[in-house]
Amino acid sequence: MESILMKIEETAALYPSKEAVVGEGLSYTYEDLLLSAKALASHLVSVNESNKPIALYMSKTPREIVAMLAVLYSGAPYVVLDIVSPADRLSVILETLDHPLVVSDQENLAAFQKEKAFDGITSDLICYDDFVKGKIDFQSLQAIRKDASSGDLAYILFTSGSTGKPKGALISHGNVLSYGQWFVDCFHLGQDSRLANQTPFYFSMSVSDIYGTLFSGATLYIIPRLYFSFPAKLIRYLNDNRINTIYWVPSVFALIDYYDLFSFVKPLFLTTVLFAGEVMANKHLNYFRSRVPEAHYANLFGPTETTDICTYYKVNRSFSDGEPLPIGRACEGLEVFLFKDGLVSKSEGEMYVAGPFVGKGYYHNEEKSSECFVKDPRGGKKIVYKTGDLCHYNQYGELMFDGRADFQIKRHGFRIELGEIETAAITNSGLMNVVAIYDQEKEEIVLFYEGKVGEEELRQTLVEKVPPYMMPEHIKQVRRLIYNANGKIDRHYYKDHFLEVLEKGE
Amino acid sequence: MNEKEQLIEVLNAVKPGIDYEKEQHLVTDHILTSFDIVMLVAQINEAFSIELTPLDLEPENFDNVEALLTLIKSKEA
Repeated sequence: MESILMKIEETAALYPSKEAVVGEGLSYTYEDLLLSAKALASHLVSVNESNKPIALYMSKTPREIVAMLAVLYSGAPYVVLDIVSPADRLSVILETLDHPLVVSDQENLAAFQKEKAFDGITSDLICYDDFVKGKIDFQSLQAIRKDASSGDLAYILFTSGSTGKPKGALISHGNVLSYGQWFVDCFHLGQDSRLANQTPFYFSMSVSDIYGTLFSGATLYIIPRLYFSFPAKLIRYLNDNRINTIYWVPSVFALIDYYDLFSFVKPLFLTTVLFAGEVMANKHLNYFRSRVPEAHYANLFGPTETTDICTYYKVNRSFSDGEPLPIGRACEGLEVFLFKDGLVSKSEGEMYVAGPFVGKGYYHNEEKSSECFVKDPRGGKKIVYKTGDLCHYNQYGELMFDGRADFQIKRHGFRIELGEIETAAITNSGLMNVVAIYDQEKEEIVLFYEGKVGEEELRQTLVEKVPPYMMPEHIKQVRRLIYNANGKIDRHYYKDHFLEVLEKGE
Repeated sequence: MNEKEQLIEVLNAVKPGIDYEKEQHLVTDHILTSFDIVMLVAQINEAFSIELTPLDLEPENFDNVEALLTLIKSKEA
């Protein structure tokens, strides 16, 4: 199969009138979804230069998924923009794309036009609403499909680079087809699955929600963002829509645990609970497992550059609150190996990934591409992805995540994973979230956290959990931690600004 | 200090730089994030010696100072 669309058309042929995507008061059946996408695509074909990426500047509603599919029908890759991201960051992305066509909707079009940073940066701005009910140009769309190949790009997903300049990971139709099918098979998605999407569409986890749904005949519900501030509403939403499958970031689990939400309102239909994106603290997972014991749980792990995921662990035993959770083993069809000191290691090292989920590099960024997408160091010509993640195997042969290569430190001869200090701190129930950083100059560890626990009490927690050489010199409570565009703690910010934060407390 | 002044002080501690007297849509305009609300709930509980539960967390109770005051009063009663 060459195109994502062929796979979705197969699903649509089986379940034409079944709801595919629901949210924000809108609902599309499989048939509606494809018809609308084809109509919009018919216009895109007539105005876009061949295969040039098309950017989407739209609210997160089912219509944005229609627009993604429309771009695919037009033979081009799409780029989902985060509309609440600062205009300066977006303009860097648009500049990298070199005057792309931008599709927006009535709600956001004026804001885009008004923004000075976007002046002269696009080739054309198209209003979704004007073309989504237009005539379908079957002939042009068919011609595009005839030329399709599985190596064609499906989308470009910009992730924050360590230098602060976003880099665009290139993901092909073949990548999404093999990854999406793996996701469907591994977690038994089918026409009875009802997924509730939390993650933004410019974040790789949403790829699993969207294509896992559309490849299997399931239904995807887009959760209103506001519900994550008012979590009782979130659980009622799950129950009202009989949601059985969720794939969320651990911060949401932390929030639910923090509020002890399930003592007030409980999810009634959950059977599959998946998470990724950050390290899941067993404390939060144990809260879920003890109150929703009938569900299956799995920890997914991987970078945007391997479409979404490269290893997974189906939770099959008990863990204490302070224990780390395995990231398991390679997804079926992938090869994952650890490499250290020029050799494949059976114990520990940096993770490399080979196989069909591995993307095609970064858009117009040869330097970064050749740094991370490298020739297989074991020999051969195959390109593999060097993750920058440090791991080891535990006694069960499962992979354990130790931290980013760039966050491992060496102090007084001890090698320290800052993540291990964070895991220890999070066992304190008064803690919401935490970040540990290293002051290279003074050789000191600084820990920032948000939560209701006092600094001295947290110090006591750490004294009990970590050896003296890992004890932070500074423990500082902040009002709230700073998160990056993907909702993860912005470690680079703290690495660069820790002195200021220590002084001001924010 | 009356309750309203006390509440505005708490709000400013959670997120400074907002005109809380005027602002009517703290939640619907996404001025307060989910993390702000976590902190706000903890600090309101402490400042007013009440116990807001997750069931009290409704967007309409948090959209402006008046709504928050009504919520606090209902819990004090």
